[in-house]
Formats: sequence, structure tokens, C-alpha cells
Amino acid sequence: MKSAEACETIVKHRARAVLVCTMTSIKWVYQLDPKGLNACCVPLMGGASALGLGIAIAQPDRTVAVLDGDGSLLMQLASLVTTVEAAPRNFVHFVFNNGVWFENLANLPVPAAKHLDYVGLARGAGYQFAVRIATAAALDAAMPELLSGGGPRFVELVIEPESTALWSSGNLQANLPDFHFSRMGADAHRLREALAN
Amino acid sequence: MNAIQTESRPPNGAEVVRALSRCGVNYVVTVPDWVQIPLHRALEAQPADGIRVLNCCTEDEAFTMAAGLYIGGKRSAVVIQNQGVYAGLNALRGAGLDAGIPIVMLIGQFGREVANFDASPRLSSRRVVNILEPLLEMLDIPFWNIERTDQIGSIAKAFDAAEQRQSPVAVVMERNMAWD
Repeated sequence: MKSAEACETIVKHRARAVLVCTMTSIKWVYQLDPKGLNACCVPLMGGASALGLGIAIAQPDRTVAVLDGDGSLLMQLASLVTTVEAAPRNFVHFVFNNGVWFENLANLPVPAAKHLDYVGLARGAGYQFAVRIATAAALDAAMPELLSGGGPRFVELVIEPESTALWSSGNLQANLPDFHFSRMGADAHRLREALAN
Repeated sequence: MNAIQTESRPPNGAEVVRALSRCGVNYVVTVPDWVQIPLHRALEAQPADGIRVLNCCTEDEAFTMAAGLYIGGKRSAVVIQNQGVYAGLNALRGAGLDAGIPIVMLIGQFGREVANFDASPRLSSRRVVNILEPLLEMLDIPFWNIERTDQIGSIAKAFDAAEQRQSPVAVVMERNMAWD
């Protein structure tokens, strides 16, 4: 499935869930549901899982789903272990396995992407529930159960990376605006206020 | 032990737990610290409704999880050692400084030599010790040093400052904490 399809499906089922986004998922979730209970982890690659874990522990009656990247997870792979140790039942960790960094911008290869078994890594860390989902239809069917508690749950999403707008000499990357460096804090404070009410 | 002796020794674990409880701390997020082992033991000895300990594998996770707890409406203290600040610096930058989230660190000065005890840690012969305060200053992170029990009120000052500044702050445990 494509990243956009995965995000559409997750947003469709989210209801009151908090979505913690990083990398590719930020673009889609914030387009699809800009007023939802969203947090973004940027620019802090690798931090989404622990950020979501903290929110999940603090808000045990609300589902918290992290929409992580494969490269991001690899930067903080031990967060799988930390999650199992804390064991929040309301926590779902989606990993977008697209095999690349900077999807549809540069598509640089994630190390060992063709060999990594993310579900195996999660199970090895102690996750009791870890599945791989390859299609949007299968994700759509699984979502009600995934968000029903009984976690922590780990879900590898098999993603086909987009490659329609890659940077090149004829398509230069834009300079990042200030917003890119302030949005994490703005979202954090907005979400804190929403969760308090 | 008389009052003067108590004031002249480093705080013990139970004293720091009480100080954290008075500050409304719900969680200690930690990668364990050599200097603060009596605190870790005191946290283990709490009743079930006491401060909950969240053990992390890396300091990056500790800083970011503390940010998540704050978003969720809870108060935490991040208990780490000086090396943990160095290891988790980018997460502290992103989740704390850039995001404007009040993260309170209790940092053990791991490796401080006895010969340096009566001097500034900046004069320590060990880099792991002497770079901590300049680094915190460079990051504009205020810090309080605790060498003795009578300085334990600095923990409350640190929490107040973190909330007021909406930014990370640090309490530096300068010596191995006392066991009793």
C-alpha cells in the first residue's frame, strides 16, 4: 500500500485516538485531519515512539497510536524494549516500512531494508502482538481490533514508496520554513490543553 | 546523627523521594545513574501508589517520554547521569528546548574525583565531569548543584523554574548520594 492509503485508513478509524506522527505520516495526517488530536515529532527523527509512549502512560483511557518510519524506528530501536517494559494497553506502534529515508524526496535506502524483519524485532523485544499488514484493505479490516486496547500492539505496514517528485537538478529541495522547527512544540501544548479538557 | 552532620552529607534516597513527592512528581523516567543509586533503591521501596518508575534503554527515550508525559498532563523527573545528557542531547534539544517543554533532570556527576570535592566541578581533571556545567550554560539550561542535604530545596526551585520558563532545567547531584 502507499503511505497516503495507510494514513487515510488510520485516520478513518481513529475516533478519539491521539496520533503521534513523524516523517511521511505528518504530511498525510495533517492534511486529512488537521484538527484531530495530533502530535508531531519533528525535527526529531526517532523520537515518536517514546513521545507516544509517554502520552499513552499519562492518558491510559485514550488510545495512542504512533505512526513511525522504519528509519526512525531504527534510530531508537531500543524503544521497542522500553515499550514492552512499560506495557501500556492503549498503545499501538505502526511502522511504515517503505525501505527509504525521505520518501518521495530522495528515497535513500534504509540499511538492510530488504532483510529486516520488523515483526521479528518486535516479538524479540517481547511484544505479544506484532503483525505485518501489506494492503489498505487488510489494514481497514484490522483497525477496529488494533484500536480496541489489549496492547501494546506493533504493526508493520508494508509500504510502496512514492517516487514521483524526487529532488534533482530540475526539482530542487525548498529551504525548510521556521514552522518546521516550531510545530512540535505548538502541537504539544495544543494537545496538552485538549487532553486536559 | 545530629543536624549538622545531616546537613553536611549528601541527601539520601528517601529524602529525594520526599522532595519529588512534594513537587507533585508522578513519574521518574530513568536510565539508572551510579551516583543516585540510593534514590533508585528508595523508589523501589515505595508503596504501590508512590512515584512510578519508567525504565528506559536510552536517554533519548527518557527525554522524549518525559515530554509525552507532560503532554498527557503528568509531571516527571528524568534521573540520569552526566553521560546521559551527552548521549541524549538531540532529544533534549528537540523535545525540551525547541518544543518548550519543562523537563526536569536530576543528573549525577558520575566520575567526579574526591580531590575535586571542595572545588568547582569545572576544575575536575575528568572531562566527563568538567564539561557538564559549561554545556548546560551553553544550552541556556539553568541548574542547581546539590552537595548536601540542606540544598535539597533546590529540587522545588528547579520545578518552579521549569514551569515558569517552559524549558528544561537541571539539578546536579555532585556526589554519591548517602545510603542512610
